[in-house]
Amino acid sequence: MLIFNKYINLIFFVLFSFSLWSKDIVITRNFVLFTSKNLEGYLQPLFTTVNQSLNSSLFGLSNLDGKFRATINFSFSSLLIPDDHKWFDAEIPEGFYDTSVTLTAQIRDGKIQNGVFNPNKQPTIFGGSSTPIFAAPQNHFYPDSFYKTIAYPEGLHLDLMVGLPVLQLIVETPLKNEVRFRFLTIPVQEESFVFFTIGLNQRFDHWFDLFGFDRCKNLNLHFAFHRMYRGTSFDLTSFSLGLNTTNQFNNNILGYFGIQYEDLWGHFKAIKDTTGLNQDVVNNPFRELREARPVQISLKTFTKWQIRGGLTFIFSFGFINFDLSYATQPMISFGLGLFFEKKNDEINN
Amino acid sequence: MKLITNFTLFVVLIVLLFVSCNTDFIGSVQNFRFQIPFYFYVNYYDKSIPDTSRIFANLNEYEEFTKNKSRLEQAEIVQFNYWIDSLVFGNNQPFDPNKDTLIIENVKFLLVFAKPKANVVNPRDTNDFEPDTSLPTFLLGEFNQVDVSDFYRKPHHIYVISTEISQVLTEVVRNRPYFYLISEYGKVIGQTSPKKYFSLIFVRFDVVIRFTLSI
Repeated sequence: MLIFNKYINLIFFVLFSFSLWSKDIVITRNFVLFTSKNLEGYLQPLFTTVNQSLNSSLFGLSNLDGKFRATINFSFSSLLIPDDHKWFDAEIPEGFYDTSVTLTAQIRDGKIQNGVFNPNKQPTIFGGSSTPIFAAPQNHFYPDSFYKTIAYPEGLHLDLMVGLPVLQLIVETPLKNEVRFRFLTIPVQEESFVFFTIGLNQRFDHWFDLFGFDRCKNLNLHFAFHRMYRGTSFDLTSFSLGLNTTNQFNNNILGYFGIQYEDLWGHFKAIKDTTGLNQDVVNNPFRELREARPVQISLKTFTKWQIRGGLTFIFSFGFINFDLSYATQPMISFGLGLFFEKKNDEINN
Repeated sequence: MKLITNFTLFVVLIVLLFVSCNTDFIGSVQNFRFQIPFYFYVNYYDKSIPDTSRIFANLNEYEEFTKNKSRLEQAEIVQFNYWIDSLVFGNNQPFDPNKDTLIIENVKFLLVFAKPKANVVNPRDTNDFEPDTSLPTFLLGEFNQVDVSDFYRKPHHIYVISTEISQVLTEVVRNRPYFYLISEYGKVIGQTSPKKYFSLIFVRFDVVIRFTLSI
């Protein structure tokens, strides 16, 4: 719960810092840390982490033999952050490209370099230190005078990131499937933050009699749908669809392997308080910030495919499982399950 | 049974790994860091060199600083640059970087912390402060044979503040966010008179400060 709270704090701190907090997010127009494009690039690796961890623990925890069982499952994961998720190509004010308007310089690789760089590598939320771009306007009047030195937010210097923890109810039904439910609502600054997941893992090998009398092997299709939202300003939707197979080696050990396609989309929007905009210009090199345009970002993930394999050890009271996942952020996961009701009998090979 | 025992040991190791990861994560997520440039524009009229110029900086005048002051964990000066925006000779002829040659023997940049004057209860502007002699003066950079053309509306004179200086500054800036940026100008090369006069000199310092806020 502490990790979940930290996650929510982190996301909402970055998204809503300097805001006045109301039902519709209103941000002071002096919020100049991010343009929309830069905020989107800064956060995309974090939403990749969120998406991958949302789409974990969706299969491999039971032999779907059609016996009813309800389980509470808690799992958590750790993700390796690749180097290319630690930086993004940050937006540069348009005037920086015109040397008759302003001259620019910055320190890259320990050397002072003139001009702007393409890509303009700046840290994402997982990255390190940012690189300010110094600018000397060539004239005192508009537009040159706007194009002054800029700096960027910095990252958390993380190589490993903890995934969003999963707490879910799994119900196995006589239809040889299992249904997953996750739900959480917490107040975030006078508004409810809501999260829910519905998932289905359906065995289908028996429809085609693929494994004959072998009751220990399963071939399954799994699907999950996730949503998070806070008011009308923050909305995240994610899903995954995949194929997985399990093999129960004996009463205690179950191996699993699966591949899934997943995606995430959503938006964050906040409007700027434009009171006094005409009297008191925000002197900022970015046109979006000068004109107090709304902060509007699309939520995206780098990860589209995930391959996962692991082992589940089953005990009388529940199970523990461990798996490895190959994706843009390689992930290890660990889970614990507690049975509400034990199945009537166990597998006999 | 042995397999389960081994697996349980393995799981314990994984849990320990996770705990350490979580500790790192939770530690990292305590803070949010960003850099902000502060612009110091100083306009001198009837200026003569050799001379020492002093710019007063009070971060309390900047909204980015005051709004986050209560959550401020660290404030480090990381880089600054210095450039000359305009210069007019004593004969009222503007300096032309393509035509004129003007080389200053040496220029020094120093940082001196300020403190409110003893009798000032609510210090507001530069007149309410004075240099704090109880703290050391920090040399930010020293340059010889400074060709003014090379500083004239050119931003590439960027100076990185060393970590040792930066750490000292952090402690002071957090509690007393006011300081002087001092520039000491030597003689102009070829200068024969004790002072060389300029009608106008506009100089610019862009100081980038890294703030660390607790979330």
